Amino acid sequence: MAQRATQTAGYWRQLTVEASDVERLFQVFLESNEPQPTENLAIQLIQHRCQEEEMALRSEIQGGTLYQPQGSYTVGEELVFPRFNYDAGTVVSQRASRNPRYGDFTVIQVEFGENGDVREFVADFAHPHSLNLGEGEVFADTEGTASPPELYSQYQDSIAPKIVNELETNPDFVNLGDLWLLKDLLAPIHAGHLNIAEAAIDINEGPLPADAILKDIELPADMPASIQKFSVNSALTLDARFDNVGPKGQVRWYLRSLEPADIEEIPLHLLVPELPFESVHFNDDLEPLLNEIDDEATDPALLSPPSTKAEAVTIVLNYPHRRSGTLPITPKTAAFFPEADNHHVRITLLDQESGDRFPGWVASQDNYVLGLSQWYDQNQLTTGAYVSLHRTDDPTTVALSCQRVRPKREWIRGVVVQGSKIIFQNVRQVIACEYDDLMIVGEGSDQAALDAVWISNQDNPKPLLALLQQIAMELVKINPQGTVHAKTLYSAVNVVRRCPPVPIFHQLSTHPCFVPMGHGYWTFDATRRD
Amino acid sequence: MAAFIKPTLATKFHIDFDWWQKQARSLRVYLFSHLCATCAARYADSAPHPIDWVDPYTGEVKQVDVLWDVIRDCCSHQDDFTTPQTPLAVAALLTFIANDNMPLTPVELHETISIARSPEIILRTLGGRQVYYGIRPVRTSLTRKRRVS
Repeated sequence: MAQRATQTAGYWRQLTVEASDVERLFQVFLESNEPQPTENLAIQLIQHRCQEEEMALRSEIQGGTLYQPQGSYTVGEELVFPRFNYDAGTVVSQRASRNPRYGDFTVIQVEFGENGDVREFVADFAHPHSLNLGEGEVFADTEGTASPPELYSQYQDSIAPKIVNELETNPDFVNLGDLWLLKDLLAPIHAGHLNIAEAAIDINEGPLPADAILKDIELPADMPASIQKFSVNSALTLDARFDNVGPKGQVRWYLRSLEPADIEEIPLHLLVPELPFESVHFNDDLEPLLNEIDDEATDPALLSPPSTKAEAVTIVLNYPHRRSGTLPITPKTAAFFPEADNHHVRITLLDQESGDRFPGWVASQDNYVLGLSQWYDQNQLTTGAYVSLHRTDDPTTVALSCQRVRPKREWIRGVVVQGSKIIFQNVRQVIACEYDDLMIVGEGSDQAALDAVWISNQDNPKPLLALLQQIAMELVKINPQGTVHAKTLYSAVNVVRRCPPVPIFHQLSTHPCFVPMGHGYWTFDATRRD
Repeated sequence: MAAFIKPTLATKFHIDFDWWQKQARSLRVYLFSHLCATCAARYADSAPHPIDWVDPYTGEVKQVDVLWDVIRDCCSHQDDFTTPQTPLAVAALLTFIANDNMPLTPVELHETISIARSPEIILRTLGGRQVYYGIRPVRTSLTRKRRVS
């Protein structure tokens, strides 16, 4: 069978976007008069290349007649045979034939090549045959070739990046994510329009899509709605006052002046330092605990897959998130939050008990949700508290609850700052919610002193092993059984510095000074330090 | 010597009648051996009867015995035309006869010849240097050189 170059992977791997391709893309925009996704443009380019190939083939067989079984041919006529790689031959004789299955037809003898090889072909064939072309059909239709959309689906990894690269470097095109348009087709958006958009968002006290903004600014009525929308989105993207805070695939504009000042910076307490270790060795008791610790820095591959359809999930708050007023996005909680189209998406957090609503900010790439400081304070949540997330009908609204109890003073493990050092001891603290007994750490009231210790540890980090030994020794001392649970160690370490559970569990499992006592409990033997 | 191009799962195969001619083997004998009982009795004493057969893919005309159409029209519809005991190459030959020698890939053949465990096994059987019953990859060119216009 003849295989066209455009039907092969190699052709598209070596694709270079040429001037004639760009010209074709210009035509696409001018004819459609609307923004186009990369996929459409790629399919148009593929179609253009296939048509060029078709033209080349046609030109190659000029002077010869394309062989079709239904045709009548005369001796001396030159024919081109599409199913034999477009080989050409000359009709040298013919005879009449009959087959009960097909009826009467003609058999032509065709001579090929220099060695005079003669083969017989059917002509005047009234029976249906796949080589016969109907009205308007082209050769490609008889060859069973893949269509441009099929070619794109097969070779998009080779084709799409090259088209995107070409369009990005060509000043005549403008894009918004995956949508492209010719710059000349953009609607004129002036400073006045932008000021109106700013006011509209301000008055709305929430993000607005381009459609809503267009109601307040007047653009030429004869311009397609899709171009108006694209033009507004494009203009607002270039203006620093505006920020796209929509979920993935939805552009919603908000004002940077109304966002938290440090929205694009990862909170200090959530920054995970480099903790190189060669391999992960876990004690058998430790691996299941990874699922009980809601740490966004844990490799999801080490966790059991969570249910994505759960209507509610409960997590245990750790100190870095309590201090930052954030929630972790882990495999367990991810399904509750929309993914951001840009860096962050604005959502509404709903206090399930009071019905209060307040804005939250999902930084999906960095795996946290910002905006809970006030809610944590109001509910007197401590490190180790249970926080539940509930789905609502609106994917950009997430309900929150904590298991409130009548406030009472309880003895819990707490952290006390003495000078530049921290000490863990049992302290009496007011507790207003249910908590995980293994994770709770009372932080006391001297937040500034704790912050100073954190910053000091960040600037001059103590080796994790040394810190772990120090904390383990203190926690073992205040426990009547002389042991400490691995989750408690994780929670306590994270009051001093940010550290995911994996490096902590690795240290526990690989140093003889940490002695496993079973069920996740460990003791510390100072005489067995490395 | 013809160049050997390694076939793949996407390569179309068919019965190459030229192979039978070059090997001086009688396709009619094979066709006769696969007639159903009724047709075998009917054509037992018949003389060879070549007819012009039209390749449904290329339009090429080949002379085959009338038994080709007999098998295609009658015997191939019998339940015992191929059985789980039919060797793979024979089953492939019969499949091509039944579908009038329309080219098929090993994957397409596998959908028809359920006895073969996988398309890869069909490819390994038909795609080697040993040619069974003239089943070969479809030829792409009739001449060594492309036409010079």
